[in-house]
Amino acid sequence: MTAPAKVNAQIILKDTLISLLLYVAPIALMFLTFYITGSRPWLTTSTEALPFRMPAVVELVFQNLRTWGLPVIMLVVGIVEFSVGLYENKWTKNERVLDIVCFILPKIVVRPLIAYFGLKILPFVFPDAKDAFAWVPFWWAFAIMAVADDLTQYWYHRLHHQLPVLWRFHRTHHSAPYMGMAMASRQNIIYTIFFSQIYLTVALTYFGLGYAALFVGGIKSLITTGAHSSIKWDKPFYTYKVLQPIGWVMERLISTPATHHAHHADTTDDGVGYYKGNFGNMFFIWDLIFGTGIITRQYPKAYGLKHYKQEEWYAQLLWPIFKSSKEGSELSANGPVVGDVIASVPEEEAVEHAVEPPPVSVVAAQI
Amino acid sequence: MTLADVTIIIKKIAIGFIVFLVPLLVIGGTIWFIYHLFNAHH
Repeated sequence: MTAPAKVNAQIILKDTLISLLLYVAPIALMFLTFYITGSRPWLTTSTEALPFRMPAVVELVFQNLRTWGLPVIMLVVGIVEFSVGLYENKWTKNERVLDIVCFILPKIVVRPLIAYFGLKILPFVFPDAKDAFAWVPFWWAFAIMAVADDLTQYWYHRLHHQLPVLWRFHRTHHSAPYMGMAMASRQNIIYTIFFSQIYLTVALTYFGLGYAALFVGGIKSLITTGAHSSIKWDKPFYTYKVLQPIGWVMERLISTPATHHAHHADTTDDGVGYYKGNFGNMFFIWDLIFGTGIITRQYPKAYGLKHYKQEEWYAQLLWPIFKSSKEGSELSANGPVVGDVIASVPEEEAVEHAVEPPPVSVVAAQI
Repeated sequence: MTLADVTIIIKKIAIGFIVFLVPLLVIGGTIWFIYHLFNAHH
């Protein structure tokens, strides 16, 4: 292992240990509360009826959001973005086909896999664990699920940037030279099928935390969709003085267009773009904790990859099953593992995005 | 698809499985363990 790779591995190991504490934190706080108050919810909660339910209308909104609501929101926002010219004529036929297939295909392929995992594999592996944690009070379950789902996705995402062997499975999401709904679900299908946090959420749902997962999932979808949008809805929070305190908290807590667009910038050297970090999906706070984030309240001038070769949509969707015919492409048969490092560096030495320790986290330019 | 492609997919799935399994064991194990501690002492 080379020195930079070793440093990278040490940082990942240290942050993994911190993450274990973060996963445990809401659980420890929950039991501490039980200890102080003398509460024992498992004595009074049956698995048949939930002790807490959201108002019916709220529940209905989130249930519909999970099924047809979010795709409709994405379509409507996407049409608005396109209508006002936010894709700047960069939505070529190849990009269009890729974005549309990536929008539709996971809904056909991934859902049956998740259903099989939840209905067949989990009952086989954990036959007596169904609803074992159904007694966990709603708001504690909400906190546990929010940390579990989003911190796991943070790691899944971060590792695809920091481990060269994984980069090409995530490259498709970064190749779009624009931001917006058109590219929000744009991923290599293997990246999407093996999304770790989806299976974690299904498993915790099987254990009895599913009601809270419904609301965590809905809120997370809205935040991540908003962060990918080319509509800079967060700008007023930095512009108007009365909104600035809210903006200060918001940009540290959740992903916004400013912080997530920086992650999709085509450069990381202009003080605004930062594709080496800002990995958070729902919560940005993980980037602050691990020192992988920057906040500038500005938006990149250009998006995508400097070394993008407009690879065929099927190669971007199905690599490595299908390869690109573009000379020198990362997705071609003998292409580089990571296109923005020197091509002659062997795979095991090409530690993309993480050759140096991450910088101190926050550059709050207008604070 | 070559053998190298199959290898890289297997590596990818293995890393993803670890990213799934570690929090599952930590969260599930912690709730289960402290729950049993509570019931043992109270």
